[in-house]
Amino acid sequence: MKQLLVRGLHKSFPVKYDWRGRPSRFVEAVTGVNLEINGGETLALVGESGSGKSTVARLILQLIRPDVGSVEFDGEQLTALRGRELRRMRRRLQIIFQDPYSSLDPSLSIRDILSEPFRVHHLESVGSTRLEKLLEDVGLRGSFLTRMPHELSGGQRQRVAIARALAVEPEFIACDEIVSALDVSTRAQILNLLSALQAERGVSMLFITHDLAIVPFIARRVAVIYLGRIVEQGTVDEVFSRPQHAYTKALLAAVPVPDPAARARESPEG
Amino acid sequence: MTPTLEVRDLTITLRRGERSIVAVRDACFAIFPGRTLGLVGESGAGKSLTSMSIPGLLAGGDIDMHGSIRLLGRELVGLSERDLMRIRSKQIGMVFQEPRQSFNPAFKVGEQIAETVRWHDGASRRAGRNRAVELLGLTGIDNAAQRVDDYPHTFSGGMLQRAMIAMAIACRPAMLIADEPTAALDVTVQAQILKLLKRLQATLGMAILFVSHDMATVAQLCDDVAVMYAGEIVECGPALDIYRRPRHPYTQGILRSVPNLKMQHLELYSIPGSMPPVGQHPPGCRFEPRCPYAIEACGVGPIAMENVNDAHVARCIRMHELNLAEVPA
Repeated sequence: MKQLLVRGLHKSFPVKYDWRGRPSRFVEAVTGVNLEINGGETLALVGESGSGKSTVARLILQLIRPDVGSVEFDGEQLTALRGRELRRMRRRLQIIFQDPYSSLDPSLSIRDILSEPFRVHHLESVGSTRLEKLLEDVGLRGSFLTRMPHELSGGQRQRVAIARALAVEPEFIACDEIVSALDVSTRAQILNLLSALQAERGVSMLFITHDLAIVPFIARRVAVIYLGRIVEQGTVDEVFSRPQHAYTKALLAAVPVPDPAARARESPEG
Repeated sequence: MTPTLEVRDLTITLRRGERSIVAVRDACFAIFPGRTLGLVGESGAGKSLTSMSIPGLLAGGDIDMHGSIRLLGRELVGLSERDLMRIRSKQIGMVFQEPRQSFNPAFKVGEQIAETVRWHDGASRRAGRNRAVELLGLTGIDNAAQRVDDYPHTFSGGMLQRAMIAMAIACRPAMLIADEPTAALDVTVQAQILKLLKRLQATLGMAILFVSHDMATVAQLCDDVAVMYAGEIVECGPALDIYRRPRHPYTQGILRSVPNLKMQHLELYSIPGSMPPVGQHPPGCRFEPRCPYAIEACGVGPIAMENVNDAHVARCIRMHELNLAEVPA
């Protein structure tokens, strides 16, 4: 059964206001997006900046509300929920953001950062042992609990952000460009960590990225988004070996090949 | 043939009150006309510090530079600010990561390009403007004659990077330093900018120092590669040799952690641990704590750079016995 069902999602944002302060012009950020994710599955959503991929993630989690369309999670219409009901569902859907430098409150210790989800969701507060376990699960030492975010490197911060998302044992995680701010070797560590955690816990994921080269490592299925529309969707093998849409072809052709011998074949024009 | 740029034993020390920290140690490399050297490494490795030191952009009295930087045979270390001003843009063009922060938003793009030409070549206002139009056209901006009078905010990121390159090559410099010029751009735009750099190099014959953390883009553009780790160049040589047969375990590590569309593995390789911060380097080989091939001798003292062959050097005492091309299972 489909765990997450996204149907006909539309969202436009005002870009101009008239003299009364009422919006007079809109830009369509997301136009008619349909997505499906099975339990325990990862769907990669790829596209360039401005394509609407982050907006899709926010719409799924109801961080912003769609103009039209529905998001169904485990049989419940998220788009119809409000207040307490919505918060109850939100425990089951978490998000991790791109920039671990702005997604962790610099004035809170790691302990406070990791305890916050429990407080927000009115869950029983947990002791140090549980929090240390959370850190160890993401490959950090338990002693990090007393540290502040500024003492941590980018990769360590991103691990804390992952630990925070996992704290409330969600069933779905949206990962919005979570490795693009990291260096190569750290990036590989985080991707492997994420795959391992997913295999272990069976959470489903929406993995948003502009970097096509990492997609085969993290997902079986991929959706390509361009100017707010999904232009192609299918298994990674299919889409990457036989792209149908011109935009997908262009994206794949632009991915640099890490081999100096590959450049001899191309002509230096453009 | 004399290299366009020759850096020898460059050491950069940061003074923080009583303490002094060696941020870059004994960097050596050379770039010849029409060639591109890729300077790669992770953030904090010292690659930007190295590249910024070449045109003398490390400001302030708390940074010491030792060693030699020769541009077309002329020593740059120790030059006065006045002399450096004449070299920047004129002989060394620079392109940075964020074009939006490099342009002044209050002036038209064309004026900012023309300023370079007027300052260095003494061109008139009209000649400067004409040159700006010509340069924008050369870097692939449509409608250059109109765009020259636009402000930076009307340009997209990729377009502004083109304009930035136009400004950098305005005085036909012998040397172009490009510090992560494509890191902030989308893949399709990135591919265009790399092609543009290659095309300009073919027509102008300049040497390029390409600073990047991305082994994939470096492979696309560079003839030679220097790998930096924790303030040291650990390996330097022809790109094909480095990618096919790396001699330093760190080089092998980052090459293996680059994802590739053609790879079929389910797991990406990752180097365990993380790079030591500046000032906290281990006594021996700086990569030793993370190195899968480390032996006792590695941790004893600093490792010297040794020749693999005439063109290829590496900083590893086991480089002759290890075969790093064969990736361990």
